[in-house]
Amino acid sequence: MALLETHALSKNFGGLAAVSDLDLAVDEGEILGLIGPNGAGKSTFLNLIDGTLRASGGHIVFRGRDITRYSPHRRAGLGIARVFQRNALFRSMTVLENVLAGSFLHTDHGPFSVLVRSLDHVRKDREVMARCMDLLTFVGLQDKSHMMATSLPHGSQRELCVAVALASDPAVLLLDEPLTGMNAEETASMIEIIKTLNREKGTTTIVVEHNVKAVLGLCARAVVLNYGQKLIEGTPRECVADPAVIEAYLGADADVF
Amino acid sequence: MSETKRGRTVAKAAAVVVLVVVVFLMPNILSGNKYWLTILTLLAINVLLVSSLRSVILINEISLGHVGFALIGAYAQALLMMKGGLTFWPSLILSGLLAAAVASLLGHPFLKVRGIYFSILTLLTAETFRLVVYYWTGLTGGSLGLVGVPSPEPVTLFGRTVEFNTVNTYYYLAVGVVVIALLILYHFERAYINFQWRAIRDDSMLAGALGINVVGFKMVNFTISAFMAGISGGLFAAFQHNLSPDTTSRFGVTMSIYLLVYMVVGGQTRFIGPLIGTAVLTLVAEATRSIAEYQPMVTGSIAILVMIFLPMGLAGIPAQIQTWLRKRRLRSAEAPVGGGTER
Ligand SMILES: Nc1ncnc2c1ncn2[C@@H]1O[C@H](COP(=O)(O)OP(=O)(O)OP(=O)(O)O)[C@@H](O)[C@H]1O
Ligand SMILES: [Mg+2]
Repeated sequence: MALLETHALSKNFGGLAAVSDLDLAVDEGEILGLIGPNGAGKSTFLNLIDGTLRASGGHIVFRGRDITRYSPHRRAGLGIARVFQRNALFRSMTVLENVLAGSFLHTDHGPFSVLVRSLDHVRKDREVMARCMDLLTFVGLQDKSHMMATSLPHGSQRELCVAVALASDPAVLLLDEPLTGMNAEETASMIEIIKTLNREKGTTTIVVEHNVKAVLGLCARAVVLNYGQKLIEGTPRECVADPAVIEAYLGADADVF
Repeated sequence: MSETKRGRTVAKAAAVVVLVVVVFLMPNILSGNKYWLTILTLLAINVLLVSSLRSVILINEISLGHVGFALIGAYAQALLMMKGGLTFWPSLILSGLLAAAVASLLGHPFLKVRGIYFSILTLLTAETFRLVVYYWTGLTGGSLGLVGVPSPEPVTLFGRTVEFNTVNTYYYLAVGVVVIALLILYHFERAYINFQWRAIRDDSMLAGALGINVVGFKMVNFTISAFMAGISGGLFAAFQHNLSPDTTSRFGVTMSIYLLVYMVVGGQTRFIGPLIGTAVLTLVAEATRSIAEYQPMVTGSIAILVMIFLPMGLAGIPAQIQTWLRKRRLRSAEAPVGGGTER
C-alpha cells in the first residue's frame, strides 16, 4: 500500500481550479518529482497535503488514514513536514533556535504546559539541543548556529529550512523548489542532502522543482502537472520527452530544457 | 561579556529588592495619604489590565476588548458578593473564570481573523458587553450604576484582624494580587513555551507546519489574558464600591485606547513595559491635574515623542543607550584606522 494517496483531490480558488481531480500515490521510501509550468498547482498540491489549505473536494490518505480534515499541526504530528517555496524562517530567532522550534514535536509542550515545569523538560531540552546541532552539521551550518537565521545568504537559508523541517524527524518531506536561486555548488550539496536522507533514513520525499536536470538525478518517478491536472506520470526521462509536456512548457518555462 | 551579564543580573536583583521595599513601605512613606494611595491602588489594577492586554501581543494581535473582560469581571465580582452571597476571594476567582469562559467561547471565531479585523471584533464585543450591562437595569442598575459593592471581609492574621475597608489595607491586597497575577503571566510568557509564542508571532504558517497547534495556543493565550483582565475588574469593583457602564467609565472605548497608549509608551516588547508606561502616564496625569482639559493632549504628545524617539518604549531606554554607546565605540575604534594609513 502506498504511504500517501490522494483521491480526486481538488482545490478551487473562486472559479479557478488550482488542483482538480488529482489521483496520486506516493510509495514509502521513494523520491517523487513533481514538475509543471508556473501556476500548474504544484505548491497548492503541497499545501493541501500539509494542511495549509483545506481541500475543496476529494481525499488525502496517509498510512491508510483519511487526513483530509486534519489541521496542519496534526498532520505534522503524523510525520508530514514541509519546506515552503519562500524561505520561511522565524525571523526573531538564531539558526539554532529555528531548528529547536522545529523540534517542537519532540518536546511535548502543548498549550497547557504553560502550567507545568518539570525536570523532565530540562533533560529533554538537552537531548533536543544535541539533535539540533547534529542536524545543523548534516546540512553544513554548524558554524553559523548563533547567527540570526534571516542574516544568512539565500542558499544557506534554504538549507536551514530543510534542517528545520527535518527536526521533527518526518516520514514524508515535502520540498517546494528547494534549488531555486542556488548556485552550482549549493545545488549539488542540497541534492546530496536529499539523497543521503532518503538513503539513510528512508525519508519519503516529494520534490517540486523546475530544475529538470536535478529531477532527473534525484527521482525515479515524476509527475507532470498542468492546470491542476496530471498530464503524465513516469520516469523523469519519459516525462521530459513527452510532446504534451513540451507543449505545456512552451513559452511558459521553455528555458528549463 | 559574562561579567557585564552578571553585573546586569545583580543590578536587576537590586532594583527588584528596592522596588519591593518601596512598594511595601508606600503607605508609611505617604503617611497614609488617602488620595495618593487610591491612585497607587488604581495604578496597580491598571498595570494588570495593561499587562493582560500585552500578553495578546504575543500572538501578534491587538485587542481593543479587554475593558470588556474587565467589565465582566467587575460586575461578576459585585453581583456575586451582593446577590450571590459569596465572599470576596471565591468571587474574585469566579469573576476571572467567567471572563475567561466568555473569552474561550469567543476565541474560536475571533482568532480566525487577524490584524485590524481582530481588533474591531474585540472592540465591538466590549461595547456590546457594556451596552448589555447598561440596559439590563434589573440586574446591574443600568445607567444609575451598581452601588454598594462590599469590601473584602476581614481576615485574622497572627491573632490580629485586618480589615480591608480602608485604602491603606486594600492597597496591600490589590498589589499582592497583581504581583501574583504578573508572576503567572511572566511564567506563561517566558517559561517553556517561549519558543512557541515566538514561532507563532514570527510566522504562524510555518509554526503550524512544524506541528505547533497555532489555534490552540492562541486560544489559551486569549483565555488567560481575559482571566487576568477579569481579575483586574474584580479588584476594581471591591475597591471602588460602585460601578457604572457609562461611555466615560473605565469600561468605555476611551479606556481601551488609553490602555493601548500605556502599553506602547511603556514598551510592548518588554514584560515590564506596561508597569512603566502605566506608572509614568498616571503620574503625568496627576501632575497636570490643574489643566485637566488639556490632559489628553499631554498624554498624546508624550506618546508621539516616545513613538518617534523610543520605538521600544520607555522600557527600551537601557537597550537603546547600549546600542548608541556601542555605535560610538565602534566609530571611535574605526577613526584611527581610517586616519593612519601608514602601510
Ligand atoms: N491563495 C490563493 N488564492 C487564489 N489563487 C491562488 C492562491 N494560491 C494559488 N493560487 C492560484 O492557483 C494556481 C496554482 O498556483 P500554485 O502556486 O500552486 O502554482 P505552482 O505550480 O506552485 O507555480 P510556481 O511554479 O510558480 O510556484 C495559480 O494560478 C495561482 O495564481
Ligand atoms: Mg509554487
